[in-house]
Amino acid sequence: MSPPSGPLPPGVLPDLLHRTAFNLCAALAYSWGGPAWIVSGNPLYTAELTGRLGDGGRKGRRNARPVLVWADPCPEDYPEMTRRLEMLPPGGAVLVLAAGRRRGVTSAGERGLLRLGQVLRWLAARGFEETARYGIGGPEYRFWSRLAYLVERLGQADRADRFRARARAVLLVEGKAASAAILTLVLTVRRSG
Amino acid sequence: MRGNYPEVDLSRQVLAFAALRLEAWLETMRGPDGYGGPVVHWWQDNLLYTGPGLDWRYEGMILGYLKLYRNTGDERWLGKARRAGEDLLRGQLPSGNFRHSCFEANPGTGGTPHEAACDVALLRLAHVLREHGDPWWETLAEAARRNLWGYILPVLWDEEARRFRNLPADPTFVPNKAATIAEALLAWADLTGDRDVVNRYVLPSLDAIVAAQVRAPHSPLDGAIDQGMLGSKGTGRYFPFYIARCIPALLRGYEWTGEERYRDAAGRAMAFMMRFRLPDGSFPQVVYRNGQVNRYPQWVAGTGDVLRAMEWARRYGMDVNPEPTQLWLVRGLQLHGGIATAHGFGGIETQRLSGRPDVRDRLSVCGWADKAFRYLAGMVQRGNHLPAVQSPPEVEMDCVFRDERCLYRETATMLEIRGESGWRYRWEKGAPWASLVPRSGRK
Repeated sequence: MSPPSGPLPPGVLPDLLHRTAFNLCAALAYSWGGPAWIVSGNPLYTAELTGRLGDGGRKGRRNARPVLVWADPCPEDYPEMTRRLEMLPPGGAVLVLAAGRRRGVTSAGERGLLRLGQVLRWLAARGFEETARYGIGGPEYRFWSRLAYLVERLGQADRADRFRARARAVLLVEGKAASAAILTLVLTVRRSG
Repeated sequence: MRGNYPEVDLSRQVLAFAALRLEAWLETMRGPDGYGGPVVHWWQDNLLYTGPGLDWRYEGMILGYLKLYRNTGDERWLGKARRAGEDLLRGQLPSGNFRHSCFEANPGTGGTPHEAACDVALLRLAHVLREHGDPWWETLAEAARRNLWGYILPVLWDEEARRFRNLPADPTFVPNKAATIAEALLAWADLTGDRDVVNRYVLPSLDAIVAAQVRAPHSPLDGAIDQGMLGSKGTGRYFPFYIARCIPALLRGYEWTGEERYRDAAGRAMAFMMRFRLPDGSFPQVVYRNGQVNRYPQWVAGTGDVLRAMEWARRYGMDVNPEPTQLWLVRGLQLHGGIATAHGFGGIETQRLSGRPDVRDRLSVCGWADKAFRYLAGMVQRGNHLPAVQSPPEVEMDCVFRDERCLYRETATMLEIRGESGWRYRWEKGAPWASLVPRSGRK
């Protein structure tokens, strides 16, 4: 999987893992109500998320709560995040989309990326509590994908397709298993009071 | 006449009524910018993005409405075809591409064969409008031209290989996608009289499809068309559904040129399909070069395109009985008027079925239902005495969703999946995104 680095032309899509992550991010933000803002130094992430969140049409929805999406976090984002968080009321949410343990896969250029743990500790210190965690591309997904690749090489396309289907079935994981995934999406909510 | 009553073809009436019920269900799937809803597919599912998809769903819908209009003369059907055409115009980008044209990979643009399928729809609608002296036909034709000459020909055509790429960065030749492009270009040629596109792009594409066909007279695989060719190497996967989508283009090529090789290729492709048709009228999902078969999931709504290919084959004298497949299709009709997408999604990994259906079987999806609609619409005739369509306000069905026994519930305004402790998935029709409850948040 090559690192995505900018807005993509027609007919070129992010890989399945990133598509799933972006769509999940948009669906969660939409459920939350919005409006949504995006903070990311990664041009591809910004373009893909803006395209999706711009489709939300969240104006006028009942119980709408603002959402801040922090994607591919890096230290350069701290000043903007600090400013944005000040405007986020209780009940507002921060969605963090970050590389999981297999770091470097999503890194764009030379930016130093923050570890997910660092990001969550930084948010916790500002009153944000984790409420849900999703992983995209966990160990099980990688195992079945690899097996599919190997049996395809052995000429067993039928088995390869079954293993690929198995991989897709476990593409999205939740809870603790999410931490070992290639991409992780964490929903944090500002504690009231 | 039999006694005082006109003779009625009951099976045709059943199919015609199914078309009208399906049409009523499709109406419930319209949002502000077009037809939306979750998508399931063999390659991947997309339950999250539920906004409009300007993809191959428009091919079946517009052509289905045009069939209804031609067969009944009822202007309301032409109005709905026009409305769908307006969706495509509104969603066209300056590049000529269509917004959200990637079906299971939406949202994204530049989807194949989806944008070409939209062009087929626009051009066929333009043709009908021109016959009526409606000047809007030119706007529709121009939209298709912008897509064909703004994206498909300059970006996807490989002049050296003389065939179409799968995607800009993927040189794989995918016969069913090339067949859809060929149909779009033939529709353009019909409308404009431009023979150059036929000679330059369509015939080489059809030749490439023929080259991707298995030639082994004593093998059951004879006539199969490979799903994809990288150079001269095929993937070794033969999908009856995709092969069916090649057949009309091959026969249109025969009509244009009189070249027997295209008719022969279509006939052998259909013969392959008939060899693998199961007694219940269904088809396996994939047949492999090594002789193995992955039967599940079997398409239900999508067999509308298989039946359409059978119609074409019969037109050219091929001995094909559509009845078992018609029955298979009709068995998929649901109480709300929609049609099941598949049978056996739960067995995609093991190729064994157990217990209740997977939600992906139950789900009616615009981009599959359109294929059934297009076929069934051909059964509706002027003077049919069909009852008024009345869909129940709510439909509930048992299903399995992510290994959990659940209840699927759909109304005209929403669909949801409920487990024992609450809902797992919910989509308010018209909304661009669905809601998913995290496992951790269920209690």
